[in-house]
Amino acid sequence: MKPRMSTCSQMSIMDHSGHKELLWSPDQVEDTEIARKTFDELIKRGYSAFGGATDTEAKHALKKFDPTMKEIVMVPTIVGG
Amino acid sequence: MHALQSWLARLAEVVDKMLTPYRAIQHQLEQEAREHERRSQLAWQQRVREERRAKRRALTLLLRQLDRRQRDMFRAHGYFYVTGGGSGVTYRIRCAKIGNIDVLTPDGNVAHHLCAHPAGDLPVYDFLVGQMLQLQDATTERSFLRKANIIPLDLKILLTSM
Repeated sequence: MKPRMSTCSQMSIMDHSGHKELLWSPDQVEDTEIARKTFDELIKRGYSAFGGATDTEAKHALKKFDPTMKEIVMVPTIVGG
Repeated sequence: MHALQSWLARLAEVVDKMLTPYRAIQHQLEQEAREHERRSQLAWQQRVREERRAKRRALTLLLRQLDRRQRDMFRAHGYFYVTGGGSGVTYRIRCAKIGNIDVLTPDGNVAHHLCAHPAGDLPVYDFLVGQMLQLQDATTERSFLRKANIIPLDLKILLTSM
């Protein structure tokens, strides 16, 4: 886990621990690439992604990784209960 | 009489000698059982701690996703309302893992319940986050509704007793 930076974006990946957090700064190419790969991998595994460009904005579904999002929440595939 | 007592004493000595190695084994077994019990206790405590930590983390994530009104409502009542992104229907999401989504009619009554949630062993608050995000987006609301099981109102008693 890297220290939070002022321009940092965050991906919250749901799991049994509550969630894992992945931070990236859009101006850091390497970090952004790691976030993109993680995003693509999770989408392949059936996760849905929801992002918001600001803290207050209601999140909407994302089909593609958008590094400018302030926060992305990765939700495992939905199953009927 | 004296001879009998003396014979019994000797017999007790012999038996005691014979049992000595078994006593050591018994002692060892007792120690192992105690150690096993101690480890089980530690593992259980660790599991409880991890579950609590996971719940706290999931609650933080949930509270971050809710707007002020939803947050206040959730803190006061343990539920919050979400408007369907595509349908405009109002859903009430309660803090539970089974059948916890109430589909409301325009006059505010419960039409039926829905049961669908993110897969996996997740804390309950993650369930609520997943349900809210899916329902408030127009595209995912449709797919969520397709997967959700509909629970009629008359099954509520059964669910609340689970």
